[in-house]
Amino acid sequence: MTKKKFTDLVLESEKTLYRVSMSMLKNESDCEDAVQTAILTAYEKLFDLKREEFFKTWLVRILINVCNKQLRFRSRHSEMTDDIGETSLGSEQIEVRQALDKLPPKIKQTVILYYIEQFSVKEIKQILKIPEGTVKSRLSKGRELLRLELS
Amino acid sequence: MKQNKLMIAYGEPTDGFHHSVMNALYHLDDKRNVKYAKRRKCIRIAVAFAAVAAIGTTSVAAAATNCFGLFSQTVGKYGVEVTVDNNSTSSESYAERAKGVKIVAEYAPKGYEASGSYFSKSYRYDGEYYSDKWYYSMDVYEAKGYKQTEVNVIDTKETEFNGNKTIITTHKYSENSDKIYYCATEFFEDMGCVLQFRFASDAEGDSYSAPDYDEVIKIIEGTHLERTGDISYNSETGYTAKGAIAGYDTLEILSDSIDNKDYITVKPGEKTTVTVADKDGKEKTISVRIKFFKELEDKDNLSRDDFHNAGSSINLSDKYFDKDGKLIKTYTNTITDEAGDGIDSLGKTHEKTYNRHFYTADVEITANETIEDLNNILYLGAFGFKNGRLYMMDENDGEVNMIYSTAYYNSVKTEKDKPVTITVGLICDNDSVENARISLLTVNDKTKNSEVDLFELN
Repeated sequence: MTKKKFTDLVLESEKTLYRVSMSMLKNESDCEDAVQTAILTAYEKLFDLKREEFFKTWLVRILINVCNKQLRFRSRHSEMTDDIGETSLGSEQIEVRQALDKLPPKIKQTVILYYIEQFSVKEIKQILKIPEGTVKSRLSKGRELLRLELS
Repeated sequence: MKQNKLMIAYGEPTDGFHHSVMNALYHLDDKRNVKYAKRRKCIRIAVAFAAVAAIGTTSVAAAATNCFGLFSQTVGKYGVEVTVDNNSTSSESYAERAKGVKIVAEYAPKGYEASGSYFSKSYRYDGEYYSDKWYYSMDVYEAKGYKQTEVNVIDTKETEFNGNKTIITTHKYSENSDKIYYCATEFFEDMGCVLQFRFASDAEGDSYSAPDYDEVIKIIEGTHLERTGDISYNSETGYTAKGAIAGYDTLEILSDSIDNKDYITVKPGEKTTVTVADKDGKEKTISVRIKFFKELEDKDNLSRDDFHNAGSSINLSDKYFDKDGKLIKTYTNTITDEAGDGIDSLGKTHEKTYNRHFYTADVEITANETIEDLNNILYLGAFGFKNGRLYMMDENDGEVNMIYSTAYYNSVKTEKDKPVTITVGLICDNDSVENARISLLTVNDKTKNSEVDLFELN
């Protein structure tokens, strides 16, 4: 893959990278750090990517790993830097985001990847490295909980 | 689910985020420049190594050119990073199972039996999983990209076995414990593989003895790798308990239900109605109650033969019974008082003794129709339940665990108005029976809806 192709694919994935990192880190500054690390890591590990059509799935997986590492570092150092950044959002956006934030973390992650980022069940299985049955049960539970929360 | 509503939850990327993306893309090649500088440094190190070790020039020249070898670097006070490619700038540990390679172990200490596969072996004394004797394991990985951070390291030694560079690390479990274990990483450059050894003991208190270092050396010396057919490694993720609904992470579903308060508590003696779904997704109703629950007394002589309705088909874990089949009544566990990160700190621990109690229960299921293979539709388990969470092992209360069920090995079928009974056995330590619950989980494979019932026992 050429550098130009890599750049194009990253830019195409920018919105996804933003939403996934914000859903996990909830802090603009941490998201900016995480996405830089993820992009540089992905470029170094390009030889790991077997097929170009899996680029987005693969890049999201790297980003989730980077975000998880940042969350572990954050909890170890007791940094409470959650910055929901809701001031610029409308009331409906805030309501939806708060409903999502109330979901158990693993269910929230799966719901976001499926309903917002529109990854398939199979792709989510590869990103999160969980069985297909688990993806489906998390989505089902997520639907129920969001329905209760947003109704 | 209104997708549009969800998609707006986080808005568009901010200017700051976009700038970070562009910044990273702009500096992609800067990383490559950094790597080039490191490569030159590597050549100097590899040549120095050759001068000391007096190895044949071919492999050293290859190492110098590719900067490929086995390297260790301290991290913090107790961490050691072991890598094969010194150019790697990845911050993550990485190890990929090797393909087409098998482990050949020509030496094992007397009495030790092997189990495992071509690429992953473990050796235990008398083949016993829960022996007090130390045990060891070997796993082979691809050398390319290999990177592991060893933690709790108190000593590192670089040496060679059969011409292969090897790093042996000595580890301590905690600051105030004398228990140690060893790890070794051997680099098979010609095979492009790394063989990882671990030598440890799970014994506690007076039963503990450290792995014999002389034997450790003999084991590493007596092990090599061979090429074989294309045997690839495939791992299943997630936790699935014995007798569980196949394909589901039952512990995760149970935990999620507890977190979301989406479960029903059933008092002792009460009956509950549960919806199960057959493989076609057709929902059926059963009623369930704990008909019988008792602690088996006379624990001094309790053995496998004492289990209520157990029958000969039950396979009970060696963890709980000694060689004569008698229940192991007390055991010791190490409790962490202060966690160390293994890099800059070791942590502090103390030992705690637990007393085992054994209970047996009959779970009675009634339906007004025939339901086949009930044990594949519902999951019965036992857990502790305290402060709103499930546990199998709690450092204060000990263990709560279902150690057998007649549903593990026999197909369970209901018929109209003809109750069927599943007999289960539980281990509860100390006073943990108050926290113990028999959990009943059903999942509709079509709708993915799940139901959780927790039966109180005392």
